[in-house]
This record gives sequence, C-alpha cells and structure tokens, in this order.
Amino acid sequence: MRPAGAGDPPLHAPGTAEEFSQLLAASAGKKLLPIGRGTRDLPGALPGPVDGLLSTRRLDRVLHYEPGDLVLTAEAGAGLLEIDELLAEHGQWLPLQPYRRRGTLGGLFASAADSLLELSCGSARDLLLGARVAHGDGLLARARGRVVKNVAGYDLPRLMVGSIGTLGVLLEVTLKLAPRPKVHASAVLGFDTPADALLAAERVRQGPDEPAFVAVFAGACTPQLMLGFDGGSARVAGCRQRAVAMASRVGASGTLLLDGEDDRALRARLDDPPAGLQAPASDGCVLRCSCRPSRVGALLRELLDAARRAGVSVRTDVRPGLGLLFVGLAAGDEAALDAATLQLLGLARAHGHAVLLSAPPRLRAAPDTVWGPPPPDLVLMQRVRRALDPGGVFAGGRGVGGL
Amino acid sequence: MTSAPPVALLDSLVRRLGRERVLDDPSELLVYSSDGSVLHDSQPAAVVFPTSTEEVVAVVDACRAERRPFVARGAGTGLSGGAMALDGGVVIAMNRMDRIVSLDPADRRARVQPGVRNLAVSEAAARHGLFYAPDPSSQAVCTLGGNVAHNSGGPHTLKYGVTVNHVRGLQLVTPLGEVLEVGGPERPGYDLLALLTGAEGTLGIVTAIDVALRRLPESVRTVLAAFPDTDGASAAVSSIIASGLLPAALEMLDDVVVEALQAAFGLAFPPGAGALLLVESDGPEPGLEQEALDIERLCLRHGAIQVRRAADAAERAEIWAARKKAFGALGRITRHYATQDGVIPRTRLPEMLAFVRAAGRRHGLRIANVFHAGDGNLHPCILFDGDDAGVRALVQRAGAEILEHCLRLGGSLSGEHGVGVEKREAMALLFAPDDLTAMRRLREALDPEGLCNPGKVLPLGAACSEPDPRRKQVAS
Repeated sequence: MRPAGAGDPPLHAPGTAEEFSQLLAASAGKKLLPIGRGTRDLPGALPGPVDGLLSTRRLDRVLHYEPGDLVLTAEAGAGLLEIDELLAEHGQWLPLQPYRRRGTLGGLFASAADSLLELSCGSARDLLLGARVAHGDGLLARARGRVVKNVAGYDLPRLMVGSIGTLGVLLEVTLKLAPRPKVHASAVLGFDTPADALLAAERVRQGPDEPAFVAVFAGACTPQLMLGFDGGSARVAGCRQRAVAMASRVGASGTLLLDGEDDRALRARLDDPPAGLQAPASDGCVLRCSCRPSRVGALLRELLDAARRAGVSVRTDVRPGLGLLFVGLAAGDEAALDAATLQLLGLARAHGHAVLLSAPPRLRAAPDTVWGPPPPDLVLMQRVRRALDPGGVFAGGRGVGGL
Repeated sequence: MTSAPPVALLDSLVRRLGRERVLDDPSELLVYSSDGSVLHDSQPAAVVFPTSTEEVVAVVDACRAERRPFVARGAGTGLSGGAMALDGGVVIAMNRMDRIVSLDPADRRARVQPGVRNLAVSEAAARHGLFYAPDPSSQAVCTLGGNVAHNSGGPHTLKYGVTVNHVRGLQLVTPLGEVLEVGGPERPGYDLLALLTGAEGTLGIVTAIDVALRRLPESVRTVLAAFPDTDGASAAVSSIIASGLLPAALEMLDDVVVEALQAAFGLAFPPGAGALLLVESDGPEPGLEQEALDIERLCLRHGAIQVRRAADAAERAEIWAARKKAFGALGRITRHYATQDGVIPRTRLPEMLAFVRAAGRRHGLRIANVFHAGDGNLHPCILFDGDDAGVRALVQRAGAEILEHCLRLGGSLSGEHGVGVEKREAMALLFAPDDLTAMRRLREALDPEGLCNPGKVLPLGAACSEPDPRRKQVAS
C-alpha cells in the first residue's frame, strides 16, 4: 500500500547491509519508510509525507541452514514461499502463515502477523532467535544468535517484532524451525448459535487433545467451529475423533471431516485472519480485538449485537484460546461503516485491546483510532525508540501513541 | 565510588523500611556477597527487604538520592554473579514479596510477586489441572523474578520454550523509580516484555509477573537409555530429531556423572554405561505409545545397551531423580565444582564434548557433563578440590576455553545462567563493537543514571565512549 499524500517517493532497494547502513547514515533529517516487497498492507496509522521507501527485496538469500539444528538464517527480504519450499524438502517448516506463504520474512516479523497455528506452534515472537538490524543512524547490529537457548545480551530481535519499521530495518533473521507434521487434518462443525460454537470450543480446550488450531466463525454465516490437528497419523486420527465427539455434545448441527487438499484449503483461508475477512470491495474494515479468553463470548455477543443494530454486515473469525477476535465489517455507505467501526472499536477496548488492521485511509489518520489510547508503558517505548532511531529517520506517527 | 560508610544512605533506608528490614552488619552481609557462583564475591553496603512495590520505589529513590547502585536479588541461585552488588551498592532482596496474587484457571493466568518460588506456581496450578512450563533444575528454590532476569529454561524447554514464551505482563519499577505496567504480546506497541526478560535486572526491577499456565498433558512416556559413551547418545539425539519427533525433554549425563550417582546415591546402571539419555514425550494419549516405541528403537539402533521405560509415576520420578540429583552427586565426590553454561548448535554436540574432555585432560581437571542435549545447552561441571588461587585460575581458564569453543562452533555464551559479571568481558568475543553499541544505547536510554545493576552484562571496556557509527561508516 502506498502512503497517502506521499506522492511518489523514491524506492531504495540496497543490495547489502552495508549499503543500508550508508544510506541511513546519509539520511539525517529525512523520513524513510521501510517496506519488504510491499505485499502486505502497511500496518498502523498512515505516515505523513516520506522522502523515500526502503525495500529489502534485494536481500533474499538463505545464509545458513542446518536441518539437524532446526535453525535457519536468511536475509529478511526472502519470501515465505521460497523458504517454505526449501524447508519442505527437509521435512521441516516455519509454522508462521505456512499456508498463505505471501510476503517476506522481514514483513512477517516487523508486522507481528498473526498465524493460524499460534495455539500450538507459537507466534512470530516465539520463533525469532536472532537478527541483524540497520538502526536509524546506520548502526548495523546483530543480537542473539543461531541457538534456541540464549540469554547473552538484550533481546533486540524480539523487540523488532511488531515494531513496524520504527526501530530499524530487519536485514537478517534467524528462525526456530519445527518438524513438518506428517499428517494434517481438520473438522468443521456447524452450530445454531455463536455461543454454542464457543462453548464447544471451550470443551475442546479443556480436553486433552492439544489441537493445532481452534477457530470459530460467526456473523453473516452459520456459526462454525473449526478444529485442526497435526502430527503422526495415530495422533491426528485419535485426537480429532475425541475432540469432535466432545464438541458435538454441545449440539452440533453437522460435522465435516477434512483431509488432504480439503484440509489445506481450509487452512489457507484461516492462515491470515484479516485477509480472510476483507470485504471484496475495498470499502471495509478489519478489527483485531484481544481480551482474556474467558471474556471472548461476552465480547463477541456485544460486537455482533452492535453491528446488527448499526445495520452493517459483519463476519468474525474468533481464536478463543488465544483471546483473539478478528472482525470484518462492510457497509453500503461510508458514514455507516465509519460509525460502526468506531463503535465496535470502543466496545472491544472496554474489554481489552483493539487494533484497526485494515480500513479506508480516512479512518487511519490518527494513531489513537488505529491502536487505541496510549498504553501505560508508552514512556518506555519512546525511550527505546529514541535509543535505536536517535534522529527519527524512520517515518513515525504510525504506531501506538504516535511512535 | 564512595568509600566512606554510607551513613546517609543507611539512615534513609532505615527511615523508609524500618530497622529490622535493613541489614548492614558485615557478618550479615556476607551471605549476600555472592550468588551460586563460587568464583565471585562483592560485599554490598546494605541489604534491604521490601514487602511492596511502593517500598521498592522508596529504596530506589533512596539509592538515587545518594547515587548508590542497586540490584534486585531472588533466591541467590544464579551462577554468573548477576545478583551481586558491585561498588558498595544495595542488594534489594525480593524474598518477602512472595505471594501468588491471583490464579485464574479460566484464563490460564497467574499473577505472582517476584519472590515466589518457581515450583510454587506449578503446585498451586496443579489442582486446576494446570502447570507453569519453565522448570529450571533449581525450581524448588529459585524465584520467578530471577527466572525473568535470566529468561530461565529447564529440561522441558525443547517443547515448551523458556520464560519469555510464558510471561504475559510485568510490573516494573524503572531505574528512575517509575512504576509501570508493561503489557504483553496482545498489547499494541513494542515487545518490552521480550526486552526486559533476560535483561538480568539491568533495565529495572520487576515487582509483579503475569504468567501463562498450560493444561497438564494427558499422558507422559519417560525413557532412560544407557549408552557406552556420549557419541552413541548424541547420535541417538540427532536421529530422534531427524525423524520428526520433538520430545518434551532430551537430557544427557556423561560417565563422570554416572559414576558419581552410583557412588553418592547407590543408583544402579548397567555395567559399561558411559552416558545416559533421558527422553520424555508428553501430550495426548493417541499416538504417544508409538512415539515412545520409536524413541526406544532409535536408541537401540545407536548402540544403547539398556532402555528402560517408566511404568508409572513412581518410576518416572526415579528416572528423573538421576537427572535432578546429578549436581548433588557431584557435590559428594568433590569439594567444589564450577558449572559452566554454554550453547552450541545441536549437531556440533560430539565435537564439543570431545573438546571438553580434551580440555579436562590438558588442565588435569575432571569435568562432568549434565545437559539439555535437545537444545544444545551444555553445563560442563569442573570438579576441583583446592582452595588456592592457582587451582581457581586453572578452573577459570578451562571454563573460558570451553566457552570460546562454543563460540567457534556458532554457539552462545549463556543459555540460561546469564552473563552477569562472569562473562561480561567475553561478550566482546561474541559480539562486534556495533552490536554492543546498540545494546548499550538501550541500556542508557532506560537507565540514564547508570545505577541499576551496573557492571553486568556489557563489557566494561566498551562503556567508556560510544564510537560515532557515521564516522565509522564513512571510514570503512
């Protein structure tokens, strides 16, 4: 996505870390906006005018891969698709958006993108072991390393996760890999009400079956519970059978068991939640709401009620165990969409946090609208930002509290 | 640093906390002069025992007013000198902040004070069918606050990760005395939890910790395999990982430990056992039996002379006793030991162990190995008897050589014990000057007065002046 009002800023795509460093060191007083290949929507509030875009698309090499260590180091502009294909040859994977496989490694981490398998495999922050970063004045720094346990020095790599390019440009990342499960399968169960679907999800969560993912769809569709299982064939078959039986006792109206290509198609649809909810027309919004898992049911009810009263179309993709609700809104007219979006953000923020992941530019001008009110630890974040981007070269004003 | 008796500071501390919670008698300070590391000590000016966040703030304010360094201390089980107060600083002992504030089974969360023992969290969670996953060997005594400082792991790290993967929020007293609730991964903004976890108490003092709890696994399979040597055991580890299995724990013990366990506790192992491999798998029952059979088969294929499976909880505890009593057993066959903590890529295990053996021979020292084989985290344990400086210097030299070899193999200085005082100068071997500059900038931004556990983590040599990176870029 091009920043609005930025005209057509020049695109810089240095080919080496040193070139990044030199460019940044020579950019004092300018505003630069790091992007990967420009595949993902730029997260956060819209930047003001920028003097240039910084792309990592020429940094796409795999630097080190030792399958026996389950660790890979690659340049941050490497594509998820290419990395996944390489790992598949060795029976391994990086379980972060392994079905969608779009964009770059750097973009995935810088935006802290959500992934289908977070419940079982962890999120982006859990799988980043080390990084090399170009900070604001051109300082090139590595931190942590290529081993899975490491407490030598500060955890700068994880600090970069979700920092949307305001602290530095990720140049190299070292990833913790996992064995690629031999068998994948899933199940889709229909319910009469969203509350029943959530209750069934809760039964599965209380049970022993450690699903790879749990998602609930509600809104403009039949309420559905989707369960995924990964592992050896005995485990996948046994756990799916037990979990489906447990969930069905709540009163499922129908059950579909998905294997092979059907399972894969479902996962591809769920792998990047906001993408799955985006309105076909460009005028829609996607919210990411988080709350304590025990409040998910109450929040979902409030959000669906409010959307219905506002007369907007709503679809939700809930990850109950994680306390995450993704909400897609669409409406015929702009005013109705904007009013409903702001109202739902307010409801969600009363329960926890809510971020506007995707929205028309008119709703993305103010950081507080996009991210919610500044958090109590903002003062620490500001100190961190000043330390790593001392001259404020990276286009700010986009993150929470105007970071 | 001030050398006169810190009268004003002591007065100020006593006024804020009361006489009975301020120690300043040298005989009482002795125990707080070192941590679990036998090679370092430094006497603090005072030790204080706050019981609330407000009192921690009061102590920090008192120290700042007198320009005295301060350092938080948990159970003192650390092995890198991280909880020592250098330069006449104040030790803030967190032991009296030891309450589990809340435990919420529905959300699988607990909020605890930093002085809570690691094991106490899992004990409290157990009646809800939950547990706290990071389980360092010292879990019966070490505190959650210390775990956060060192991003502690434990045998089950392989599957469940380390402390940073389980911390969801922190209450922090900043080095400037502010109290902040630092949010978790769900909260928008920078991941300060990741920065603070493993920062060894140099970026503030944690006064409350929100942790994630997990459901106890339905089933567990624990296998103990005896091998003639560590090479066979290492090959078994590699083949288990290569087969796509990810056990919850993969722990190895070498011949010196086997001998010590037999001598100290009369544990029986098959004759010829020169290495033990403990493999534990857990999770849902379906498929778990097959996983255990696969593990046993792979061990036998790589030369295991005996494979023993725990039939019940009692036998599982017995197998784990060998691992958990390892350091105790070593303590009975030697007067002193110094435990190292280094990490290597798992595939370099055999050559690393060969190097450790050779280093022992070269220096005439016995070195035992008990370690987390699954994640390449070694704990070579150097045994020694003498109290004289010569022997200690030899022990330090052997330890340094082992660490340097870890770095040559692409590893790290510390997996979980921290850098502390012990390894701060070695940081310059692992990191380039610019890498350390980025870390130092962060530290100076968060601790501008330089009073929060100074002299730890970063090399002192690099603390003098910051090179101008722009100038260097132009020059290069």
